[in-house]
Amino acid sequence: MGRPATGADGMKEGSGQGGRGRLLLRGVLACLTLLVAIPRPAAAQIDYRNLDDDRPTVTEDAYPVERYAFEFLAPYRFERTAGGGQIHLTVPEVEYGLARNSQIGLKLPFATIREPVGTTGPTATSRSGLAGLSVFGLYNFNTEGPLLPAFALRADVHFGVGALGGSGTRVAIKAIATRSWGSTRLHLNVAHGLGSDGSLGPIDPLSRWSYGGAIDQTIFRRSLLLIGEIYARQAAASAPTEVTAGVGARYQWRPTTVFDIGIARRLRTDIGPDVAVSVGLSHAFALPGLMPRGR
Amino acid sequence: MPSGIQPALRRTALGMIGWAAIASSASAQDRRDDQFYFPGSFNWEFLATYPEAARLFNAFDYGHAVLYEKLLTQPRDLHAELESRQFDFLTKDLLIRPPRFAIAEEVVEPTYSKLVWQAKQMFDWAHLLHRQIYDVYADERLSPAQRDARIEQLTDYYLSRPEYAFRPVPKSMALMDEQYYSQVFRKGYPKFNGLIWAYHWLQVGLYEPLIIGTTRAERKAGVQATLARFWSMLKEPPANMPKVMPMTSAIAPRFSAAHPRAAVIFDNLHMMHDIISDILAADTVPRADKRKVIYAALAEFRDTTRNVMTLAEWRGMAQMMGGIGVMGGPASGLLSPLASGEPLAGMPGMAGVAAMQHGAAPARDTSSRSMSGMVMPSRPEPRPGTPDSAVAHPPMPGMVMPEDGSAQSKLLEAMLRDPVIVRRIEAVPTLRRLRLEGASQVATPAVPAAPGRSVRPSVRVRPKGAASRDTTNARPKPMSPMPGMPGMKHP
Repeated sequence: MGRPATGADGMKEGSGQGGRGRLLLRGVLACLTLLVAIPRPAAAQIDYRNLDDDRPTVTEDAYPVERYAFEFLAPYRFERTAGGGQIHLTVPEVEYGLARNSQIGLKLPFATIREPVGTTGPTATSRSGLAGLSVFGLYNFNTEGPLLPAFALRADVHFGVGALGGSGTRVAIKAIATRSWGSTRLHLNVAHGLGSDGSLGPIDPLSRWSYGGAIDQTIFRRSLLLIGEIYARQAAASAPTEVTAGVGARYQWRPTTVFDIGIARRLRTDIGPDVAVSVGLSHAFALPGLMPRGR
Repeated sequence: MPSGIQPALRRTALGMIGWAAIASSASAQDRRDDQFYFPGSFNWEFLATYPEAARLFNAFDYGHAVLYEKLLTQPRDLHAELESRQFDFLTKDLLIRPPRFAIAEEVVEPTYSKLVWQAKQMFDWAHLLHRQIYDVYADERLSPAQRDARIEQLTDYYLSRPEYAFRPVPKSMALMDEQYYSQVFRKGYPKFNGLIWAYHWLQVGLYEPLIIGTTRAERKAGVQATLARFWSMLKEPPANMPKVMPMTSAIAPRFSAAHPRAAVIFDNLHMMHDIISDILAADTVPRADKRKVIYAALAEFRDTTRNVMTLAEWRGMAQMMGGIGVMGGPASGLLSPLASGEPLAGMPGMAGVAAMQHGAAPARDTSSRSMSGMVMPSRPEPRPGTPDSAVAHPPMPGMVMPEDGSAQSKLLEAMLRDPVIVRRIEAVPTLRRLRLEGASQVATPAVPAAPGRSVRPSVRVRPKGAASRDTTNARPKPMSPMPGMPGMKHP
């Protein structure tokens, strides 16, 4: 999920690499520029309703990308933690509609962590680097009907690679449900992570437990989606539970490109971000060589 | 494996079992089955080049969706809801300011989508083919041969999903007109039904100017003319709207000749639109049976062995239904040229228009009759060896219309007094620019600044329609018995 860990002690890991924040920001900007500059070959004009995890809220909907579609996401997130630290995070991600009603994806989070004075010494320190690698798959069982909502199951595997990636491998299973009432939808996510708590990196993509709900509202004439959510997560078995509230929006900027923006804040005093802001672009496309030829 | 993980695994396994039980119930529902469109650089060219038309199609999608939702949910005073409130919203608001992108139809038709997702998917898949073919025609980098090849490729791709594709085999009109639920919607809701048929007229008719035009400017002007014809249909509804379902072979004869598979698919699609409207509107289909009846109709349209016509019968179908005149008239050749080579003042690119030698009739509709309320002059015979052109624009700003008090002059003046058309012209930058350019070349503007103002035309325009006589009260020609058409009923 690419969210900074705030419950485990992973903040002590990683190597000091001051000054990389600006490089990271430049990388993000380069990604965004590339994304905008990509020619427009594909994707639906209603991608703004495809609620990806962390784009802009943690909660996601139960529907995968379309079959044969690729979606490339270039987000940036800034977070100021309760202790005064700062995290700059970008999680380039690619998704692919591999088969009917299913998608697979790859995430490669990069982060820069600025720890406040007193955490590791008399001056502020900064660490940057790869924060692991995640692969995932999502399967949607059904579209919603008159009675049942849409259901999906998602599995994530996080590999602890990179300076900020921790050392172990974690797995998470997530159940997702989506139900709509006209232009309003309700999404429920419940996830459970498996794996050792001792190997967490400072940027923890897979919590021990997480559960949340979001409501979104479609403004179809503007191709705009407004989202609000409450999310709870426990990074490790012994860690306190973090509760955050967030709001965001997704806007269909071009036929194949969606812009998203979100902001979140902790609801508990001792844990969670003072403020977290995310922006991102996602671009959908397909490759002719992977399409069926028809008859 | 660490011991602490085992309880977690057990909990997870239990959770998964519970989830699987829910999921198995869910699997009895429709599958989502979204699929991406065929990629290529041609995609979105239509929206980029002809936004005033492409965005209209987005509004059309809303019209279809809200219709189905209202028919299914049966709000109190359904007739007024559709024939007044929704109709007014569509024609006075949404069509005037259509959405930039396709709308999320699930938002507009949530109940319908949940009940018959497969129908929504079949429509979406066919609408996608519609859109991509427009993109191909709008791509100026492609030669005509490349366009044709690409359209056939897109049709192949469309047909690669047999569970959601209308088959390229003409289906019997009896499926639309002779069932126990048939014609309920069109009789009960003539305005909205006419609007849907006007949508379908434009959706297939707009191919013609894109095929006929030999330059980008000609295609642009042709599209504007066809759009103007569409707007004129909305005047005094339903008098000027199509009286029967527009057949692609009649409205888009060149497109139908070049790509008969796609043309047949679109006719089947439009028939299915009408069938679903009837099923939803008919009291003879109980609410509990509507999904079953709709799905049976969808299956029928995927079946190539029953209730089918030959291509020759399909091509003759328009004539049997009353001719192109009752289907909304031709979508091209709406205006005639001036004297050979004479540019049309105030119309960018019109020099080439005159050279196009308009006059060929796109539909050889010798018995065509005009729509009710439409006044159409006789169509001249095509000139051998000359292409037809659709550079026409009855209400095109900057044009001089005949001042001889003829029927067509009155028609054009009436169209330009129509506030809907005027608003539309003002809302479209291209049209507004043309109006201003035209106005700068003549003493008085051709388009009234406000509804009701008289029109002073500045360019000679001769609208080309289907019939030479006033057929205000024209009725569809009775259908003739058709071989292979089971159960055909004739009025």
